[in-house]
Amino acid sequence: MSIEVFKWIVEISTAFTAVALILCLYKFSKRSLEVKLQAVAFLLSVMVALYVKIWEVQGAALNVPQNLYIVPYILLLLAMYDVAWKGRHRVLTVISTTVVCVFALGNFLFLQQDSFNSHTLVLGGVFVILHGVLYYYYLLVNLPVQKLGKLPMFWFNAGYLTYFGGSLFIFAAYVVEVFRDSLLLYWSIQNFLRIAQFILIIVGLCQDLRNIRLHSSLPSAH
Amino acid sequence: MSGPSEYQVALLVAIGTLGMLFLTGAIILFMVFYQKKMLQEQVNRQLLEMDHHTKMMEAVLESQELERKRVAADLHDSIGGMLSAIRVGLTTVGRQLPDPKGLEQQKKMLDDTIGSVRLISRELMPATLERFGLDHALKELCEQVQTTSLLTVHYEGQGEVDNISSNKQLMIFRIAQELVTNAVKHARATLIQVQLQIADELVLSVVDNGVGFDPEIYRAVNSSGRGLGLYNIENRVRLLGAKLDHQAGNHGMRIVLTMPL
Repeated sequence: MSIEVFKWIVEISTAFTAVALILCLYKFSKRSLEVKLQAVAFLLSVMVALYVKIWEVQGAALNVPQNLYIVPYILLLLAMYDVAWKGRHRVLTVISTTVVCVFALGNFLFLQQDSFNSHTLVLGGVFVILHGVLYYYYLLVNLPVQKLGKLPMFWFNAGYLTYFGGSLFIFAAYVVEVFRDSLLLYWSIQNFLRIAQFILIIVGLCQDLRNIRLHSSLPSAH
Repeated sequence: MSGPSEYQVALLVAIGTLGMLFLTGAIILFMVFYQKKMLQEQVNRQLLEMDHHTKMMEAVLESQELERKRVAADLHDSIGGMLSAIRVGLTTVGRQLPDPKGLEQQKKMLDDTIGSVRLISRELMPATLERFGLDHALKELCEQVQTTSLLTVHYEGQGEVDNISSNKQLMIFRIAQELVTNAVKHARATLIQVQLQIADELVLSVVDNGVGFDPEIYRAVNSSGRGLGLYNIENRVRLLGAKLDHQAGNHGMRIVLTMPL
């Protein structure tokens, strides 16, 4: 795979993130806390992408902002799940958050000082997958809606499960070290998964907007 | 000892990635289908509960009717019979007295009591309904109410009731009875019109020129346990698979029962 094709894929992935961010910001005050937390996560993601785009030609260290971005991104997602299931498994979220923070710091300082912090992403991914599966379990037990497709969080969760589930093996540190020569290919696969994730998230965001429009069109109780 | 080759690792990554994606897809699909199944079960459970509730209601109303029938028969045959015998005895005794006019007052009171017992017995279980059907029973009800309440009560019936089961006829009669009683008791009306039309569907309307009422307020009163009239009407309407419309006009109330045949 050529570097140009890879860059194109990255550009498309960033564009999807930007679209998701714009959709999150639209009618921001009326959006749920889950969407607001995702908006912050996407904003961070877009900012890192812009930083990389601006500084890559000047030879600046690109891993540092990317590594710094992983932790708040994972924490925002875990917080989103905590909001979604109304704090029912807060102990798990607090433990996950603490473990991710401590591990990320250790990894950043001692294990993967010069390279991309894939270990942190893998660990965070495992926790996101765990939270995602638990969220679906929560949906099964509580049956909050007649049609799952009308629940934005169903789509968001499908997106995160697809991305973190699919990229778990790709981000395993061993693989990254072994595939230094084919890294572009694996990063591209990761970017395709990211695009798939954002397509699902955008569907959820559109559904959320539709729900808001539907609620505002209903006659007032007064 | 050398580690795994690049090919082996690539294969591992491919299998792992595909496996995880497959697992994710399976979880999502399972969610969708399982949720559908759960919802279907919930609907089935609700249907079962509704069915159970309907059967309970049927049983309650049936036992109510049986009890009414028994009380009506007791009143008519036992108390009514005894009162009639006393009346005959009193007449016989009167003939033997030098001044039989002294018993006239007692005789009149006894006649009134016999009349009241017959009326209560007929209200409890209208024999006309069993013998001649809904149309005649409603006509009799209106005449009876007109006589006792001194209100003008009109009745108009159109169509044949033969293809309506006796059970349903009894339920419709009870609804009409309750509506007319409500109009007499609460509406402060001077005119009540009862109309029965039977064609493709049965339409029973009770119209009065009284003060009208808000069914929601009555419902609230019923739920607090202070009255059962409207509750019983609604239960019967549900069992009949019919529809009851309340239309409050400027002067009075129009209540229409529509039942598909």
